[in-house]
Amino acid sequence: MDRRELMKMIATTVGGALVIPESAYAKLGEPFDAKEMNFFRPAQRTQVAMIAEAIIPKTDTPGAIEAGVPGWIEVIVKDCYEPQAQQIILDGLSDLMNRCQKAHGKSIDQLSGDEQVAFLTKYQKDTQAERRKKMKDGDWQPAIFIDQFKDLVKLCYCSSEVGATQAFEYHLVPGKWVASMPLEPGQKAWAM
Amino acid sequence: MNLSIKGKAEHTFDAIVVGSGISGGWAAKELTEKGLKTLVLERGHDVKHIVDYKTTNSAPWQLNWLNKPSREMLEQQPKQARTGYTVRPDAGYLFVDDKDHPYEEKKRFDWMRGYHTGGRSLMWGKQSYRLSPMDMEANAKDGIAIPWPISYKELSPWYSYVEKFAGISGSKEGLPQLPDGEFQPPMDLTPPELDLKSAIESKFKGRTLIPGRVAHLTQPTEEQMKLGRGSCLYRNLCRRGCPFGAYFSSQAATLRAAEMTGKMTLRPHSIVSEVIYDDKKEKAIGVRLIDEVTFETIEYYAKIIFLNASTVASTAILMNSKSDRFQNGMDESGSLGGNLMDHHLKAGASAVLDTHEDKIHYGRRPNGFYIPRFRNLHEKGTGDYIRGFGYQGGGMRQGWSRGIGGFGADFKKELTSFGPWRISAMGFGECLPYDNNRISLSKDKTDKWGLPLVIADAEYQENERLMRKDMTNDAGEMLEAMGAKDVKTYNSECPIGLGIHEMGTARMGSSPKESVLNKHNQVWGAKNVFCTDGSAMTSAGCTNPSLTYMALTARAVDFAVREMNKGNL
Repeated sequence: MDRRELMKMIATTVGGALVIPESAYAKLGEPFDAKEMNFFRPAQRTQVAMIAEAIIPKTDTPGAIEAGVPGWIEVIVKDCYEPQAQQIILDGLSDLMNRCQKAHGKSIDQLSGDEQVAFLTKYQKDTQAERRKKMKDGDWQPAIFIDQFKDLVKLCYCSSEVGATQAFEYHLVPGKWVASMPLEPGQKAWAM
Repeated sequence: MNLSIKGKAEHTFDAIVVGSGISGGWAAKELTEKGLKTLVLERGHDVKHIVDYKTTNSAPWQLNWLNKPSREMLEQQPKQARTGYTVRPDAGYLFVDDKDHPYEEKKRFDWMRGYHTGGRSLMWGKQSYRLSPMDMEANAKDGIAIPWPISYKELSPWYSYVEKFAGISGSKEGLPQLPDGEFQPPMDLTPPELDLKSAIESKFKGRTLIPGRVAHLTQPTEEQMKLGRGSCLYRNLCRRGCPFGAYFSSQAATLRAAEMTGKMTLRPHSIVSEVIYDDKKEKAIGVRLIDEVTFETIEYYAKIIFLNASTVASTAILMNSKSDRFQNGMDESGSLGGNLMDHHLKAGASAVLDTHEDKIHYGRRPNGFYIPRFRNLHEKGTGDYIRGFGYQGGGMRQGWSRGIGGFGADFKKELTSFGPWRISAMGFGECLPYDNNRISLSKDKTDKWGLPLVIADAEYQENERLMRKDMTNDAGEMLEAMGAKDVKTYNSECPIGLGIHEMGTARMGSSPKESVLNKHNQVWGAKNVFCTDGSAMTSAGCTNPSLTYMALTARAVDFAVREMNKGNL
């Protein structure tokens, strides 16, 4: 990975109050090149990071940004999603940001943690209702943006090095099989 | 082709094995250990043990797209992707590129395969069960298709023989429908699995639940350690190839043993197109192959030929092997290509538990539980069907991939905690042999090597459809019986092939009028040609079949070499 390219790209990405650290893009697997990270426009890249962090925030363990989730999302949406599915993500990002702006007068990263949860919960409920209405009218609808995006954030976070090793307990080689043992307080769930 | 005497000598072996997968590896091991100079022909590329398992030590974040398939992968492997789990960055490269390896489907046929050294022995499920005496007597008893030409009693010592070498973890249970074997220690059941076991044993007379029998070492023998194999370390990343050789694969076990004899020559990129038959000698003299890379046609010669290219592929070779004697391929019974079978699955149940919240498991067991067949044994099926099904399943704590509502810190907290235990059981049902479930060769379409495309024309029929009702409901009933919550049954579409247990198409039998192979797996009319992969199966049973291919192969090699030494081949 070309570090200079990466830094340049991230510099152009950063907008508003949210600072996306290098690590947001630094955890990608070998074959990915920063120069190819051209799927999202800079504003969208920021939106991805803001929403991902609202879904999995930094607590006593790192949040989505620190775990590199935004970079993974870009790579996966770019290479794995069909054009229609990509469009759902692109449309969803701006729709969510617009509704947030409308409801709160600010962007999602500027809300408090509780406000973010309340907004996302309402957003999910509203868009689910809109989907159901369209389905009722005989218009088949794919899963709503926020559900798809949340699944993607979850996959990327739990599979990331930071997430798997810090928020979970990761063993590449467990070495043995124990069919039953007590769950001790503070025991993190298995990463895989 | 014209070969000089020297050239011909270089192309002559004592034995040729076509295919290096589960059964081909066994043929290679047995033949070379009996002192035969053996050529193993693998149609695909070479995959060397450990060094070529390129993703075996990859962490999730080191896999492309976090192990999600890319659009490009799915475009290259649309048929292989039908399982939903095979075409992924970690091991998708071990499944064929559908663009290079097309086949025709009159009805949907999911043909999942890997063209490389070791074949599907690298990616298989490793569940290893014997057929039972009643499985092998069922055709005769029911008047279905033709009887097996061998009894369980004849096969049983060969099961023991292959189990000792391969290493099967399991428990002795004394069940007539699922004979015990030579086992290494079983993998323990989890608390909900034990609960399910006691619930079904007390509420359903004659039903039981046992640890899955699986080809993993849990207490390696000296023989296994000498091959460089070690105990399972519970990574459950088996499909990527095991760096410890803990599960049975050709690479870790049989090909390694064959290699150690110094008698094996392995030739990758060797697509065998046909067996060369000498009408005067009334036997085969060798095989013709096309080099996958150079497209050259090359012949090799041997006294004994083992076809282990896999079900369908071995049959296609037999169909393509034409001579004056065999003008339509190596079969005079009309049964070649017929009786394609698989195990039908995707019917069962799952549920969650509100018990054992204070317990977890550690390690990733590459196995689960098994509920042996009970229908049409001590309990009659509720529909008008014959034969039965077993269940594979597991009861594990749910991980992060479970559905969790909400957002933010609370969501994250739940996400990173152990989920409730979830238990599921999926049926594997016997498929009857039907003459009209057929594969054939295309008359006008060929692949890039000029070989006729395989055409599949097969589907599950009434008996399987009727069985699926019990497969679905019985699973739900048993999960209810243990007090599981939110029990959900399912009976999803299951096209033939999806079980990846293709069987039949060159069946064994007692007469050349109704079978392709005799009781020694010899092709009728070409006694030095043996076929011991899944093609040979006369009926399917409801258990995973690979162990039977191993036993048939070892048995057939033993016979072949004795016959050769007597001058009969």
